[in-house]
Amino acid sequence: MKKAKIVLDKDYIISSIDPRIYGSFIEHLGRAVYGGIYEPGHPQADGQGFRRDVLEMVRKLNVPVVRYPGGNFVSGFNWEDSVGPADRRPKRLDLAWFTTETNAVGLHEFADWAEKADTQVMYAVNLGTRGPGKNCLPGAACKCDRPDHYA
Amino acid sequence: MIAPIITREGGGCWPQTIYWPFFHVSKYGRGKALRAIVNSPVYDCADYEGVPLIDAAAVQDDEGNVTVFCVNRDMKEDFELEIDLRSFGDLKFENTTGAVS
Repeated sequence: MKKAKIVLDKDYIISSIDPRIYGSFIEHLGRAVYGGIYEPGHPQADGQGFRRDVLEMVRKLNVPVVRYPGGNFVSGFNWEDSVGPADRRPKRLDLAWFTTETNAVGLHEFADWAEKADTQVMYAVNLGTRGPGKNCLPGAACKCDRPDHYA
Repeated sequence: MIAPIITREGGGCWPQTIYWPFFHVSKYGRGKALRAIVNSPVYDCADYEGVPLIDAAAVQDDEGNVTVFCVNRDMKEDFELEIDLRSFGDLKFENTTGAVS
């Protein structure tokens, strides 16, 4: 049998491990959101349509932060489409993956999911079809109790 | 397809194979990263020569637990692996590979 040896020493430390390297990512792509974490009508779905069984599996991974909503998706995403009364949100053609984005799951819904998943959100901004200016408001929208004001 | 969790519409959800390495490093790979000195036979591949067959990363957490994450790149043979832990004093061995908690 082949042999190998590893030497470890308690004083030979590379660095402290930042827990954020165990972060993850959820994009509006394929079945990650719709049909993945979100499926209203599923037997395990909670009041917001988020699957409890999936949440339990995510919590076990002890993920401290999740990047959202993309990825390529975010480069064509207008965050204003995803806040405010759900029945007034526009359906958009997602230019990254050529699907229809219903915006049923938006910023606030995902923030709620993150809280249930015991994780934080690393919110990615659209620098594809728009510049930094229009992306500034999400920070305000997330703290504002009148999100429809910005819609 | 690259996600660790697979769902079925109206059905169950289950872990892909990649769920488990992530689960284990997330659970045990916290604290301080240790410099692992690896002494191993090597192999040559298309781009590199002398690649060690054993790859390892090690961690000591705040409670003093030491975890070694190890991969045997040899496609055919098992290895007998010796790990020198003298500097840590008294340690009890706990093999957590495959254990779910």
